[in-house]
Amino acid sequence: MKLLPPGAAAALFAAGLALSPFASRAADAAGAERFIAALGDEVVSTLQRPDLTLEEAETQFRGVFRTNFDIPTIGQFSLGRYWRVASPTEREEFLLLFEEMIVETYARRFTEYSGQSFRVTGSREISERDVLVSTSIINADGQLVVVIDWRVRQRETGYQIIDVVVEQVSMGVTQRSDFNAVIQRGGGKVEVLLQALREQVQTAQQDG
Amino acid sequence: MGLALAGGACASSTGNGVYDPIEPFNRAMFQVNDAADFLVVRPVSETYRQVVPDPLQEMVTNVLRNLRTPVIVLNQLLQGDWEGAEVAATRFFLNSTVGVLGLVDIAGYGNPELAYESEDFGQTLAVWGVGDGPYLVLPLLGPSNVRDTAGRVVDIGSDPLTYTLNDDAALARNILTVVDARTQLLDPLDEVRRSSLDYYAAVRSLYVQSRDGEIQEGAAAEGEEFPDFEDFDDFEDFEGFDDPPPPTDSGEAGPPSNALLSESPPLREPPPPLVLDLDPRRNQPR
Repeated sequence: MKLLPPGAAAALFAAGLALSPFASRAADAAGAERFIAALGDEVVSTLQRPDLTLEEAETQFRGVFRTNFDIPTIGQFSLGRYWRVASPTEREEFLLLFEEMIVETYARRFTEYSGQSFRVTGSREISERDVLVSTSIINADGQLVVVIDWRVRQRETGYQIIDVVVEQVSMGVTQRSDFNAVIQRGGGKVEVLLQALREQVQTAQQDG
Repeated sequence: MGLALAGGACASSTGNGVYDPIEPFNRAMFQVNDAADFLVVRPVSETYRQVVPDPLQEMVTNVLRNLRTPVIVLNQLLQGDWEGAEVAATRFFLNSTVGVLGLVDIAGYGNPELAYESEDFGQTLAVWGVGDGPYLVLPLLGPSNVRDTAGRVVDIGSDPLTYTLNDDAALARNILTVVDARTQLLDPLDEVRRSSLDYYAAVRSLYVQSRDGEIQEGAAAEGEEFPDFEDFDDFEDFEGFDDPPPPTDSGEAGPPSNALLSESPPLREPPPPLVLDLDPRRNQPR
């Protein structure tokens, strides 16, 4: 995840404002589809190894997650309005715990792989820089298991996933709802969420 | 009744801004339901999944769906969705005949154009512009809202089977409906429980989102809403707007302890103008 120097980003932004045709340059849907297709192929080929241990799965998943998901953007979104309230140290710890929680929760899925394949079925632009790429997850016997949409953001540096929508349900929105409820019930303190996340991560690690 | 609910802007929420004014009551009811689920509904559904062969489970699903045809057609019509009504009627005739009394979904088999689509009066009200009203957890029935609860009552009243089935058949239908639905939710709900911190809030969000999805799918969508994922590094573009660092800030924040963070821009307060974007409701439909 390489970022443009701040000056360059600001300059690009200003240029975008000045030249609206340039600003409304559509997100590249075909490129986003190729990105998701390639990512899926990569993951499936890893999973086809029959001897994949949970530890290896975790390492693999973490690698894929870090490279292809925009964790800071997702994390910031799922903290919602409390992102503004959180102190820099809280934000930093939150992003670390958030990544850890996702990895611990979903890496296990990698070991449960049983011949599913996936197919990109289409895509549409949903904002100037975001494309929603639709995929179907298909069973070994050819049956549709689930429809998953990947919200892909296009940047100068490439594509990254910022949300996963499973059967119309956005992971980001659900997580934000979840996290905000924890904070609200904890009297508006972000620390309460951090504590809950620490415990969640710890439990998941012990189970593993 | 519908008119009373129509007040207020259409609260089709995609975020955590679910209107839940009686949350304490709902949470209590949610726990009661969860206990009933743990003791009865879930074990029955698990046994059902283990004991009943998959093709037979599918047939149960198909028959139950087929029986809902009158309500579906009625609501497609009320929503002005002629095509949808035609699809539902075609499915009914094909599946009730060639599909042997609805056991086999011959119409929808490999044919997405004749795939099953669920409709109910709650969705119709939504298409008519009625907001969802306060979130409600109904005893035994689970997540709902005021609009969908009213819709349920109308659905029961408008279903010819309410008046034609004898008591035993009606009971069997209701039990199978619950078991069928719960069986399909066994894995997804386990996943939600495992991955969420606040199960109640996560389920509430799931209900609202999948309901919105159904409504948009059915209606000739007035435009989908997508939450705005404010770009993390956008903050770099607005340096001038930055708030002064809060007092808890340890100066210019020590070196990040993680490779990921070290590539990220320094964490700082987002500028006020962007705050508006955090509420997905304010997102303009495309």
